[in-house]
Amino acid sequence: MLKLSCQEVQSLLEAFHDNELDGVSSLAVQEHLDECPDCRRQWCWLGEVEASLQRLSESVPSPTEALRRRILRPAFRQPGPVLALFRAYGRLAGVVSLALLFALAASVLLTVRTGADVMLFVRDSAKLAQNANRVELRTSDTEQAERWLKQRMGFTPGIPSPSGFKLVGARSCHINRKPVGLLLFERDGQRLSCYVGRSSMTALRGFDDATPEGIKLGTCEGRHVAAWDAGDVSYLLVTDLTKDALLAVANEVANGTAQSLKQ
Amino acid sequence: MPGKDNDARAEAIIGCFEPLYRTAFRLTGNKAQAEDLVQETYLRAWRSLSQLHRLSGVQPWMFRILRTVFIDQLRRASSRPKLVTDLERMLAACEEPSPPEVFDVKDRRELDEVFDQEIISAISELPDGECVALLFQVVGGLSYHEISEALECPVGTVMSRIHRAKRWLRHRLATYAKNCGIVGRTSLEEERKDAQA
Repeated sequence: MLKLSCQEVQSLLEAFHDNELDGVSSLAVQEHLDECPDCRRQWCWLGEVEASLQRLSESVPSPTEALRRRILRPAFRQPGPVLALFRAYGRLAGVVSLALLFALAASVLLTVRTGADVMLFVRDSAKLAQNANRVELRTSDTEQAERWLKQRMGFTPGIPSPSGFKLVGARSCHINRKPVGLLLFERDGQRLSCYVGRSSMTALRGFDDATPEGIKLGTCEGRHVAAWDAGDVSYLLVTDLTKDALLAVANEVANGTAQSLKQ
Repeated sequence: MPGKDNDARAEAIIGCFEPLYRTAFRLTGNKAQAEDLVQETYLRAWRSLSQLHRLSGVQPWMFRILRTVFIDQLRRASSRPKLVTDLERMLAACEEPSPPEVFDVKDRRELDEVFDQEIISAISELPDGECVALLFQVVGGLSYHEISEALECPVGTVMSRIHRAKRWLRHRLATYAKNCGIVGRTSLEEERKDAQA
């Protein structure tokens, strides 16, 4: 017959109560309890705890009917239409999904590529010509424009002063998801839009010529465009002047901005 | 027939609703959270119904999902304070009182009432492993073997956890009953006192 110590019996009391012991152990615990008053007291006290636990289980409030209905209703039990399609036609659905994913990626890439184009600047410039209200700051004072741009863009670009042109105003905007500042100049009714930003604008698509000084030239929608980088600042001019006239202005302004950077 | 199999599985998991809800209520401590827990458990169960291979193992399977959802919700909330993290150390640190004689109880009804309040507080102090095993057994009605399947651990571990949990409850309730004066001193303590005198 298996003989158990008090310590062993007390470690088995819970399993004994829950009928989880094998026959031999169960008998040994029972025999020990018959003989040992200390362990019997522990056993009786465990009975109190178990009775309380039983009441705890029985006193749980009933769940709401809404919960029953929710978890048992067929719609809750069945997978959604997309998941059902996957389950029914796993391989086919996988191929279709991959094709959709590929198409989505291609369209995003295409958007990014076509978005990085001088055309965006040309169109922005054209809109500005049609609607003068798009100029946020109206001033002919270059220092005021400089302070304003610094406030808006967080850096001070060298403000160009093309000969014969008068500053009309400035605005800040995002083109191709990049922040740029715009300075609008005018001379004898002809307008010159000068965009300035931190990211290089000479890398845009749409330029078809370049000078030895690094000025890129292009034409888009009847307007001429010139761009150059000066240190970590990039400039882009859009105008309806002739290409030669634009090149002359660009050379002059590029020299001026380079000097202003050196200073 | 897959259709018939699925019907049988659906019936089986619906049959677990009551014990699951009771356990969820005692795990979370309130009705709204218990309903959320059960709803999410059933949502996952319906989705993975085809993974239920044995109908006889439906209860451990459902309780395993319940436990996973509960742990996920705890992680998200991460606000369940634990006063006791090592039961063995806690029990070793305090002198385990000799339990009172049951016939020393002065007022049976009063004892039951205070116990039912105190036991909830004592359970909330249990570490998660012990608490879940205890509630699965006492409230969910699972056997040790079923709990071991639900918790994916050996039966011996389940036995140890339930023993530690109930030993803690015995200790807590005995101390509480004595401090409140609901039960008298044990005859053993009387003997000790007489011997000292």
